[in-house]
Amino acid sequence: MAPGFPKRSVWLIAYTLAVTLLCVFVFTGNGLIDTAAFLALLVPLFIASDFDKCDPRVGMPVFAFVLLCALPIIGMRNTFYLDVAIQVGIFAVLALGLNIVVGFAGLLDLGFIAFFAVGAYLWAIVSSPHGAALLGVGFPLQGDAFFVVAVAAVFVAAGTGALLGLPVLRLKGDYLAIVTLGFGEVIRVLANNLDKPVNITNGPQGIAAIAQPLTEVAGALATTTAPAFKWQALIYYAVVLTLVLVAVLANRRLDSSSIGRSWLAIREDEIAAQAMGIPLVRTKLIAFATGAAFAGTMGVLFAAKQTFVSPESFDFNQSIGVLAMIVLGGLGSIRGVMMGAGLVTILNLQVLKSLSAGLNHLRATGFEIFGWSFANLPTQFEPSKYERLIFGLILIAMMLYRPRGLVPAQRRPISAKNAGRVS
Amino acid sequence: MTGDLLLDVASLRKSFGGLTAVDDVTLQVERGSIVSVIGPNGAGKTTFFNLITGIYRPDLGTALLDGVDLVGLRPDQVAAAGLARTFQNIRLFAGMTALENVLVARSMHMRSGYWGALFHTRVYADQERSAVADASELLRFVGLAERADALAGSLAYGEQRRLEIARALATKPKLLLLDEPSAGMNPQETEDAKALILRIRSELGIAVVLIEHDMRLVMTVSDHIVVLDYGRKIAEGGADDIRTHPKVIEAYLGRGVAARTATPESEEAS
Repeated sequence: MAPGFPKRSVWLIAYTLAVTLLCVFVFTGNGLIDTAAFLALLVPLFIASDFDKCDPRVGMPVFAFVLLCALPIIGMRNTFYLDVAIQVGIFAVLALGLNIVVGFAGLLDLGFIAFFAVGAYLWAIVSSPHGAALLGVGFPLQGDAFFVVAVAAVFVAAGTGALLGLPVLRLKGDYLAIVTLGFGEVIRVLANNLDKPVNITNGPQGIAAIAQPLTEVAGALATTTAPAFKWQALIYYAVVLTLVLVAVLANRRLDSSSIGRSWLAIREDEIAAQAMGIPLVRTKLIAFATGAAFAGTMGVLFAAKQTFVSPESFDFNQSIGVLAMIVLGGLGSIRGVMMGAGLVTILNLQVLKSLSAGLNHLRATGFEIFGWSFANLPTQFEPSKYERLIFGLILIAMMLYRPRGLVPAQRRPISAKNAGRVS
Repeated sequence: MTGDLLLDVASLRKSFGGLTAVDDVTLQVERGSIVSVIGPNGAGKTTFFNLITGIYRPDLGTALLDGVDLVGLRPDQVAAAGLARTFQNIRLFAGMTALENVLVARSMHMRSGYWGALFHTRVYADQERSAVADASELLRFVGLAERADALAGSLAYGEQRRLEIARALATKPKLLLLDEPSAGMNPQETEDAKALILRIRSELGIAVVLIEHDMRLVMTVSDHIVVLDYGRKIAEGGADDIRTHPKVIEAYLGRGVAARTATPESEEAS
């Protein structure tokens, strides 16, 4: 970009500030317009992160402003938005993890959510009264052990990934997909049934009263206008944001390293890759374990945030959901994958719900259009009820018109100068 | 054959069901030599390559590269032992840049991998820089310096062939197997390929075994030629021996022609 201050940057900054002000002072509710305003606030994130078109000197501050300033303020006024942001963050890291497995290494994994479950149950068991009964003295762990367990979950999940990967990674393509699907279900079924003979997972009832981290900090900060639960949400937001940052960094660094090139080579042509000296099983295992590690860490966070886990949260649909995010965003493209995670999560959590709410409102007030009253609208006609349908239609349209995703992956030229320095 | 043996393949055999694709083939390659394997289509040449590079496992026989038996090794272990190859139907990583293609083949010589990349250790950065420098040098060697950042799939056909050679060279092989390096090339490109093969030997000191159908290329670069037909070695020797060998003429042109052109040559010129 040219030196000086190009017009586009001025527009970007002005737009971001204007939408922020609108969100903070005008559209603070949960209605359709509020949702639209919130979505409008996320647009600068997308534009500012495209360093090919946007000067990083402008993009980075705008990006930081939205994430560190605008979103927390809006979220503290209406925690729902903070919740949405946290969910997006959780799924963004999951998507980045799966991106390593599917996007980089080309191993279709249909049971990815299993590793998320491993992390979630890990924290649930060590930090809940249920776990205390099982593990005995010293348990449950205090909420602040969260950070230690989150790091431990990296290794536990990676280990699980390697363990599951070892027998299945000799398979290719469709066969691998089917077996991973099976393993994903096995983990869920285990969670559902490991309440006897020894009650480990508490079966279908799930585990409740899971400890949360930094509750004393949230309590100390609490005021009448900003009660503790809002601060707790903000703490989760900060943790999620940090984890997303770590995940993006890890993705980028691995992508530009020799292991990342090996993954890509395996995806492109296994036989040629192996003939060039790349050990297939080992390289694939590393991809599998790395992806699993991402999911495991987020599982710990998920369990803490929900304070409750049950097998239902880890069914096959969730695996497909994360896969859809990365396909929608663009396999192998870090920006695309994040965007896919954001779009799908917001669509599920927010857009369809507020569309439903809007329609219900019109029905309740008997709003008429061309003499036809909305009161006649059948109750089945409610967008949140067929989110999967809408979702499916979007996916079909994407595959037809943009098969490589919203932000297709690109290979960046390497020069002797930037070698080993991409971060 | 005398001299310093680099590759010593002895009585290699492979059957697929009832078909014996490679039958008791023996091949010796001296350090710094260029050996051609020729034969009609379906003679078992590529199968022979696949056997010694670990893609297929031979039923019988040994293949010693510098004293290391390659039989039973996985393809990546064969590459690590110092045997690199190209493919008959080009198998580049089409979605990666030319430079990245070469870098992939450098991976096994890079010690600081995963954690180094994650934490950007100094060792990792140094290693990455020197790998890029080496890979760029190899691209220059095959004349693709300008195309380093182009996607491999977007390169012209001849460029793709050369990139495959650069990629194979990046594994730092002792011996390079080229599977039809001049297939589909025009005469000028074939001349370039020939020059490149000779430079691989003279400048890099790497021995080359090539499968080739272009007889002018074979006859001018080879120190030694091996002829396969129906999986068996029917002749071997220098260019002049092969050109006039009755069994070779028979294999390529049929029995009638062979009878008419037959000259009182030695039966087997090895």
